Amino acid sequence: MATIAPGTVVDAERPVFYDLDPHDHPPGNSTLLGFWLYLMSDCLIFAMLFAAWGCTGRAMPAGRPRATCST
Amino acid sequence: MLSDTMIKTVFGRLTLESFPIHEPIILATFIVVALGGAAVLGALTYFKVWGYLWTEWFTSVDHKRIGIMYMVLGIVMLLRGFADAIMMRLQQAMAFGGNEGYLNAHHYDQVFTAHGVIMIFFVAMPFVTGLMNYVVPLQIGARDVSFPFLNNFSFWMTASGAITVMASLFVGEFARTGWLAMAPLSGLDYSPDVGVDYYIWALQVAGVGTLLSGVNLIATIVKMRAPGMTMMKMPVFTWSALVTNVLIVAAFPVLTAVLAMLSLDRYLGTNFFTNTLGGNPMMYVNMIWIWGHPEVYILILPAFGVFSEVVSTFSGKRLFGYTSMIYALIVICILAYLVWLHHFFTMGSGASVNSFFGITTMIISIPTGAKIFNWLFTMYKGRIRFELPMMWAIAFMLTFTIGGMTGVLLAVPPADFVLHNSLFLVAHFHNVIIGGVLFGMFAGINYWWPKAFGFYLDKKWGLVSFWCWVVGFWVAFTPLYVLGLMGVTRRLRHFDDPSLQIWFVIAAIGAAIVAIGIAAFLIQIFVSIRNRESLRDTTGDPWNGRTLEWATSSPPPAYNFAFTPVVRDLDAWYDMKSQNAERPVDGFRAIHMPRNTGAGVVLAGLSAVFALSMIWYIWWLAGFSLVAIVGYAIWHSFDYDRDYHITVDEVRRVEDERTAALAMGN
Repeated sequence: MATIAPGTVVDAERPVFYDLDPHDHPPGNSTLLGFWLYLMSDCLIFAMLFAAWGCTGRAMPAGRPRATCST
Repeated sequence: MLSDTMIKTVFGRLTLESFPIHEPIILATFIVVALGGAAVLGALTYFKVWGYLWTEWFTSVDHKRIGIMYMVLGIVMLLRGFADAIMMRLQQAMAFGGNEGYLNAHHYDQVFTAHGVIMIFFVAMPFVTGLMNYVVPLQIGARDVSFPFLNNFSFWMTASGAITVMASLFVGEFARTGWLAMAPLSGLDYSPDVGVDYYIWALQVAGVGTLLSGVNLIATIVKMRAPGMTMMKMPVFTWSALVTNVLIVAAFPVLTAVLAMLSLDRYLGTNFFTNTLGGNPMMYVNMIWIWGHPEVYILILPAFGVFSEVVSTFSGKRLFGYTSMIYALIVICILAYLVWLHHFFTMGSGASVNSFFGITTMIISIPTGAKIFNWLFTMYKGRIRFELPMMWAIAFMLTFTIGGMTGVLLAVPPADFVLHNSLFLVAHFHNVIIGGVLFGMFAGINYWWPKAFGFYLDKKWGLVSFWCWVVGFWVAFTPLYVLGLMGVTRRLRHFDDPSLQIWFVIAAIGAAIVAIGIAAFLIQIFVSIRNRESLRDTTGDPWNGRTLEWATSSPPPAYNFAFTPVVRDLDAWYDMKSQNAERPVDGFRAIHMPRNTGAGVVLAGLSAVFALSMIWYIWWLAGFSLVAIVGYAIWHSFDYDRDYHITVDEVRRVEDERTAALAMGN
């Protein structure tokens, strides 16, 4: 999130309504955040795969041992 | 023999028999679609608009254009999904006793599956994503989203998923499993045809788009807000978009994983969800609902955001209980992950597990109820204007409250054992999805249309559409509540008890009234475009709005704001208006913008080819398109010519026009 530039004149009587500062883009790196979010979503895919392994990993062709997932 | 092998190698399991020309209904549909499609394509060619569409829309990285394309996709798919709905209502109104109706079981099962899949993934999702795409950057005073090209790519992935589903209508068949493709029915043993494969790949392709647009919008809201807009000064719609996209990013990978495991079962013969060899079908049910329950909140929360904006604007008041609204959103977001098991209390997990999930489900009604009361208190002593968006909002409050109450009924496990998979459930979720999500989208379309196009939507046809939808909804679904309480289960093609028929006939009449509502909506758009000069709004603020999207012109310039607004208050634009903030008319600078690119269309098109070749076992084409996707993505990453500057002269020209328009309006 951008802050009001140091050069901006802030008049207590007349509040600033538009940011007249010449910066092109807001400071702060969206790419890093976006990539991290994407990685965390991938992490969830692996979480589901591990959950599936936890539920059925010990299953045998003849059936499942009693102490696995419900049903 | 050799030629047989060769044909199989080239075409996989696609044969001439895959084209369902023996089904008269599908053949007639195909002819209508083909003629209509040829007419549209011919008209586009005749009027020479292909170049314009390609350079200005398909390749656009402007969040406003992409948002509008999402809405168009949603409207087109709404027509398809509704055609399925009216076919089902007609079949169920006819098929009693000796009458078999007009749909065979094979076709009917595809129809109810396609209806659910299309309405959720390709109608409701494009609508909410489209509105968020259009409105959020404007509301936070940003130039665009964080990753404009990714946004274009996300849209085209969603469109590719929709195209894949549509292809199943005419080539092969769609799944006959219900909209969640429950295992083991969706396994290779019980569904050996291409239907479930269409389902899997359409959702996987569209899911990539949904996930990436979720990442994109979170990054946008977190990083690109205007100066002074702290989290608790964000408009409620933006807050609802943030919470929704957190849900998307945290839920859609689960769908990806469970569909990937189902694909492994179907393609490689693993046994994740089979009945035999150690598989566990209930694991599928659990996993798909761990995605599926957050999904319904992904749909409804943006609608809540729309209603918050609409109620506050048309009551001429600040939203009542802003802080409690935000906390309600966050609580719903968290609880969304703690209730999935209420979709299958009948699994037999025992009283303790069912009680836990029953209670968490009931708790959700508390933040939701708080939101309803906040909207009512916003209206209390407000100066209410009954414009179309406000009418949809009031219809929503009445309809959704009933839907919420039947939801709490279903949350009681003993009651659920009776009502599970009944038409009572069907009536409940249509009550909340139509009465909540769809009414919200119509409110949003009527509310933001003047912003997007610079003219109002026609009120007369809007009222016709409104009353037909609201009345038609109740006529169509009240009978289903009654039937459900009598024990009629869902997805039935034929009934023996003739005393039930009258209820299904009433429901069919309701569907016909809704059909008039949809037609009136399309006429409303057509009439408004025709009469756009008399419906023109030059102020950019037609409703006396309160948030920043109304601070710029309608339609907004490509760069949204020549100067970023500084936010001092929750209702930033209302604050600026009441303080007589002067719009800067000088001192413009060149604006750095992303360049349009066709890469999104190419990558998504290749993904659709990959999906279709996987569905039809055309391995060579699948390999080729996968390599092409990766290769093209790498090649595109070396394209450094991605940006340009809107010159000072151009910005000044656009802003001067706006100054002149504002002066004329005064």
